[in-house]
Amino acid sequence: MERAPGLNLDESTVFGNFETAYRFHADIYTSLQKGYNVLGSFEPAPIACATDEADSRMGWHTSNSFNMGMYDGVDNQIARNYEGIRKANVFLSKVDIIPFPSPGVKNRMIGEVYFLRAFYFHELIKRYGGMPILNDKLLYPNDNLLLPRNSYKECVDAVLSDLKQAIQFLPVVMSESEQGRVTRGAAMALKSRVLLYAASPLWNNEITNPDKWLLAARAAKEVLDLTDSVGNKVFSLYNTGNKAKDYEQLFFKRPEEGNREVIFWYNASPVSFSNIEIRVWAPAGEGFGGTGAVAPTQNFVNLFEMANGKLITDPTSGYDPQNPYLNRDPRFYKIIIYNGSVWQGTTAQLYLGGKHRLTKEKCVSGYYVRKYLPEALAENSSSTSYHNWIYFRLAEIYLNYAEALNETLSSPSAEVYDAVNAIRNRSGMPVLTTNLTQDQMRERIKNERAIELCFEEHRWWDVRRWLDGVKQFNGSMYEMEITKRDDGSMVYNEVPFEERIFTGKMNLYPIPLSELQKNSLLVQNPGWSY
Amino acid sequence: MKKHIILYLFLFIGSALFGQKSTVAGIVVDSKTGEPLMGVSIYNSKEKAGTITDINGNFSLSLKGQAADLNISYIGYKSMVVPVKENKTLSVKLEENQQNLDEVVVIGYGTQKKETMVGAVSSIKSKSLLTVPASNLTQSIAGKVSGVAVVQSSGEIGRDEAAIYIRGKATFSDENAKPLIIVDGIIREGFAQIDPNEIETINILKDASATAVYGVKGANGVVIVTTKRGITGKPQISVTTQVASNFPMRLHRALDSYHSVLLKNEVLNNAGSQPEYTASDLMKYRTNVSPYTHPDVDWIDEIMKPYSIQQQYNVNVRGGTKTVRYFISGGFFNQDSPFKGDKITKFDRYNFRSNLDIDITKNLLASINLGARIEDRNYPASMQYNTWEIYHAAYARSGRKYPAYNMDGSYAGDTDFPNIHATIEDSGVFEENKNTLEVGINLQYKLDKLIRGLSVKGQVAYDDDSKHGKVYNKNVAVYQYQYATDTYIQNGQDRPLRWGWEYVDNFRKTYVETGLTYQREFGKHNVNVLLLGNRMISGFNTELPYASQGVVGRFVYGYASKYLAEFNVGYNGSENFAKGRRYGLFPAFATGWVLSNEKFFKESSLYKIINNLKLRASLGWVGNDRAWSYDPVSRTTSTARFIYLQQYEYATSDNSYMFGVGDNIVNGIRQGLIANPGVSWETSRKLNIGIESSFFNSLINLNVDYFHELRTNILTSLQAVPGYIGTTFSPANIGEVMNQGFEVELTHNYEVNKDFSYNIKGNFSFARNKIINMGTSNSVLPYQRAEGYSIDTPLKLVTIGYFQDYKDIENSPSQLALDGNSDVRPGDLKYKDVNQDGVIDHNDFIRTGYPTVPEIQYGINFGASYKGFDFSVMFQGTANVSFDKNWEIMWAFSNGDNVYPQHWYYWTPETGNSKAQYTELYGKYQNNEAGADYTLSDGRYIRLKNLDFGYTLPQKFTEKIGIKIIRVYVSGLNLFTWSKEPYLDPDNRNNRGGYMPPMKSFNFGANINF
Repeated sequence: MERAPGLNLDESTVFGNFETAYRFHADIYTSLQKGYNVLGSFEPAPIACATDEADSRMGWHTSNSFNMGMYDGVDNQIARNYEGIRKANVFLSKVDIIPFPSPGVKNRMIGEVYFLRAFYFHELIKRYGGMPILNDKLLYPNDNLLLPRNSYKECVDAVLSDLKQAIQFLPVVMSESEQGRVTRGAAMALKSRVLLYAASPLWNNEITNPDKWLLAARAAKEVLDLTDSVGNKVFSLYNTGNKAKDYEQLFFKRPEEGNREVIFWYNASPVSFSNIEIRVWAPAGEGFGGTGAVAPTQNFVNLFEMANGKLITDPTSGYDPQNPYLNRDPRFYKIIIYNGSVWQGTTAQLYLGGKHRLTKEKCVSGYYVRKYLPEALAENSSSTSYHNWIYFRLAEIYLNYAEALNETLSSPSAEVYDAVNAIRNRSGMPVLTTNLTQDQMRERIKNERAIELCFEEHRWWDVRRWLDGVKQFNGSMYEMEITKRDDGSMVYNEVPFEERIFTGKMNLYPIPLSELQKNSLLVQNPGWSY
Repeated sequence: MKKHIILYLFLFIGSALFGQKSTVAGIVVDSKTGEPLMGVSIYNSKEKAGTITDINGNFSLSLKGQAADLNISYIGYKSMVVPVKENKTLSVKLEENQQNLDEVVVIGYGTQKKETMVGAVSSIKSKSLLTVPASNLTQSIAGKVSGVAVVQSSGEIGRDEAAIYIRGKATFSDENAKPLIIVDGIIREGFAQIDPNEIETINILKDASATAVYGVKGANGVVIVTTKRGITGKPQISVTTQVASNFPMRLHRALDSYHSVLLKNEVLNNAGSQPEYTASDLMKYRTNVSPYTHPDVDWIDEIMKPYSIQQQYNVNVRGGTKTVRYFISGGFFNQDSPFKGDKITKFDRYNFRSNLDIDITKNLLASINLGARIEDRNYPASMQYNTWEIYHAAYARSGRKYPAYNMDGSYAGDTDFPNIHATIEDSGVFEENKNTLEVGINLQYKLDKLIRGLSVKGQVAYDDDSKHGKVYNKNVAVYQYQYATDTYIQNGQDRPLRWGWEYVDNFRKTYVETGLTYQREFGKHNVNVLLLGNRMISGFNTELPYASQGVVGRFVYGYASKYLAEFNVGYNGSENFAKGRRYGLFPAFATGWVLSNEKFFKESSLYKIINNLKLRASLGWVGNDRAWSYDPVSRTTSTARFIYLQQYEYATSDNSYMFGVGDNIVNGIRQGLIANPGVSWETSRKLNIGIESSFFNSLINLNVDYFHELRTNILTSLQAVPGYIGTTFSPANIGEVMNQGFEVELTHNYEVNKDFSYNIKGNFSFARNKIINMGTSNSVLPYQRAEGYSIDTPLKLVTIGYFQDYKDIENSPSQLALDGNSDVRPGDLKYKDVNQDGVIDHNDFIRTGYPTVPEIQYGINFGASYKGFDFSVMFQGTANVSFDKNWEIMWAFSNGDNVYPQHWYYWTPETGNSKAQYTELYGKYQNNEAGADYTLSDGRYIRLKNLDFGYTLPQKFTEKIGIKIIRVYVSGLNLFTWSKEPYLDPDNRNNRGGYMPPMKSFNFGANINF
């Protein structure tokens, strides 16, 4: 009865020893979320299924709620990210009693914490806009728990202030044994993204401010130009000269294998085919064996240019609607599984009645995603592969730079072209045609982002910050209905499979009703009536 | 006064002179023991003269008349009418009243005479449990006594234990509302699997007076199960054999294929899409000419056996010499699979019990109690986690997609529609073996030499439960027939039976108690004292053991069996609270007044009608230390052990992070819940007022109890913790619930003559709770707060009908503000604008309906015997209860693409509001699934719970073959159910209806006593 519960992990033990404090610090990383699966409870779907990139056929995937316009509590990341922030704050409140082995380690660990706190807070403000800023506060039951929301600008400033600390404390390179921790480059990349978002139309009443774009452009440039102590560029595009193959492999190759494009990723153990982050994406049916939940839409497929660099809407592009997969952007073949393509030795029969699309319910759109699926992982095989979710890679920074810089100029400069073409070159796409206007360049950059960064949890935020949601996310989503004639030839027909709802208010998530009910000080976002 | 005496004297002399008066004298003894009875009332109603017997059982009474009838009555004995002839000395043998024989009631840490009891206790006797073919004891309790609600949500074999609530529910979580179970004096985890043949009584302690001795554990009431013990005498051997057929009842069946496809096309048509099924398809479904391509599989018929067999055998022997008494029982129970073609599923139970009482010396009594049980459960591997896999699949899987078997005999199906035959027969095997050992040793030493009436007792007990589960997996391919190419597509792989995984669970408990009892009468004063200390440690696997210890006290005082007073106290604590906050004092005061023992009452004319009248009242405080906390927002329960400590925990491997090249996984450490150093137990203040009465010489007994309970300090998660706090605060003792109600028990026993007797027993209970505080945030709308309503009262939109047409929609408040609702059509549900703001949105949800624990419980039992025949029938019912239907049991095509009979009567302009049983069929359900009371079902029912008809062969015949009694009987369980809910069993309150409903049983049995 008087026996202590036998717990040896009390507060003084945890922070009084470096070994345990180190573990506490490591746990702050675990509030990061791998974007392969976020929406839903059982085998969650990626956010891509709520964008025009794809759709999920699984009823429990809350991407379907988004698509029907039901937003309350969907993708509710408030607790998760504030939990990360609280862990960071607990650690910061204990730095004075933790016996760090060296000042260098101490600085690095503090820098990581500031980065993570900034990252988690940005995850919130990109969803909701301004949220309560806690700074270093740790609230306890007897405190006044009710805080109002801060403005979006105050929140951005809070993130930038944390990033300033992080940039100051973090090393440029991590030793191989500490690889996977955030570096100075990661903090600078987040700064680039935060400033880009803050400069975008969503936060500037549609008329953007060139000064803000300039700050964003500079932040991106600093990442591109970041050098190590001996003056070498820290990051470079993964480019071994294999063109599209490099684009495919950059998602599976780790830094020690020469991939220096990735700035920060979720460093995870290898996964096998049975892991949900593979199975949900993997195509379903005979020879495939996945769940096949993520089905790219025809809307998205139509964004791929022809290999000659022309959009398919261009009459001179050579696009043949009855042979739609011929001569497309080389990345198309690394991203999409389409009718007739081969994955793991099985030819996809995605025509109606084909063995992978016996009925339309089996595959919503007639496509599956190939990106993220290492060839080595097959059904009933125990082989594993690294499958690290990328938060930042250099290609994004190039596109951040191009987008921000383009907005500061009356017509695109060579730097803008160079940034976009660097991305295109790596995958074997021709360079952009010259003499584009600022508006034309903007459209090309948007399209480049859509293709290059597809399924990487960018489009959901990009389209919102561009205020393009009503155009891109509202209305019909199309599938490719392929019918096989008796002579074996195929007839391709784009038909709508779903009507989606997207209105202006959806650029920001509503504050969940459950949160409003806990705190009457929280003011709901415009247009929402929860 | 003087005048009267003179008059009597005169009369006395007169009658002596004229031979008209007489004196009747006599002795009254117990018919069995021959012992004289003191205080027996002798009364002549004609002359209004009466007396009572003295200490030697003698009486004498003067009567005017020569011949008269004397009424002779005594509590606990059958009343007699004795005709008197002239001056005769009578010798009256009173027979003990069978009904009052058992009026010694087992209570906490002892027994008490029913007559002098002041607590609220109900009893169930062994006999009424025996012939019921219920597969476990919890089911047998339903309807038998007042104040007990029994909810059996599943009829799955081996997993059909019913939940028991005593006097409703006064705390938020179900885990915390469980009553304390005591088996033979020891706290035990359950009693469901005890062989009913081993049971002597089950007593239900309801008020604080009865439960205060359990202190911090007694707040939800106590179920005391007492097993049979030996009786001095020749060995009595009893053999029982029962075979029952269990019929699944209220199976939920999908609509047949033809009607399903008609509805499917209707949905698509209404949504403006192409029909999925062509005219040719419809024809094939209708005529069933192509069962392999257009099947019509009723999966319920396909897999459910019409009935399954249950057997139960028991042999027990009880007897004893002067110094040793014994009861030994062995039993076997078995249920076979309810599924066709299932060679795996079974439930076997072996019960063993041995209770020995040994008088080691004149003053030293030892009791050794041993109970052992083996439970073997086998299921298909798909059933390893819950109880609803197969049955749920059978009713939720569309029968029009695939035949059960293909033309070539292979399993038909695909990955989304696995074959249920394959799930049963070829998914592998899950075996669970559970062994239970319960040992208790008691010693009692009488210290009469020291102080008369004093004895010391001690008890040690050891329980060991171990469970071993093994899973062997198997996979089998299912095939999809391609009509066009006449080929099959294979889904999945054939993989042979192979080792899966296993688990071993072990539960151990040790218990020690020691104490003093003192019982003595001083003239009319009766004193009974108990003082006892105990300590219990129990643990599950590697968990930190649960520990509790405390002191129990009881002081009972009675004066002349008229004035009764009782003081009970428990002082105990549990390891779950911070040092200094561990122990609590739980006192209860009770008092009773036996009016019928008052002289004035006996003399009044009322006594002729009411032969027993007792008033009693109790007030006390009891605790509840169950370490569970309720979260009102998510409506979930979680464990809350040691929350007074700020804990840090290692992250699980899922939540670990990896650094460096290779697999350098760092197991993180994180802060647990923010500690609540002040955490304490729930406290219940209970008031009970009761009346016990008997009418017409105990022909009719009526007990009425009123209770009021205030439960405070209910461990509840804080609701007003915004997400940005970033952590979880420990739950706090903030909940407060008021619970009150009443109970009525009415019994009527009548022995018409030697051959014919009958009895009627009825009970009715009502318990309603009201949440006073649940910590609801102030930002919640006043009418949506849980406070002021019963626990679990649903929060719903109010449905006021179906929309008639578009004009109706236009003229009504807009429902488009409901989450995700983009379209409202005629035939959709129309909701009430509760706050009358012209819009239907989340502000129009109100608290409505009843909770899921029924407020009203009742049972009516009728029994009769005529010569060798006996018959009993029991009806049991509940009312004031809701259940919430969801998913496939509510909505068309919502899961498994299935539809049910009610969907056939969907709304059309022609049906209008009155005939529609379901909304329009359109395929967009956001409006209708917005969370309205439309899904609430009235859970009230009346059930013909038990029926029992037996015949005891004439004794003179059976004795020839050396058998004392042979009784053969047929009995039934759950034979008929009348309920508001038309499709599901009303107790099956799982909101998807996924559990197999309870079984209807027909039972044949024989009982032979040697």
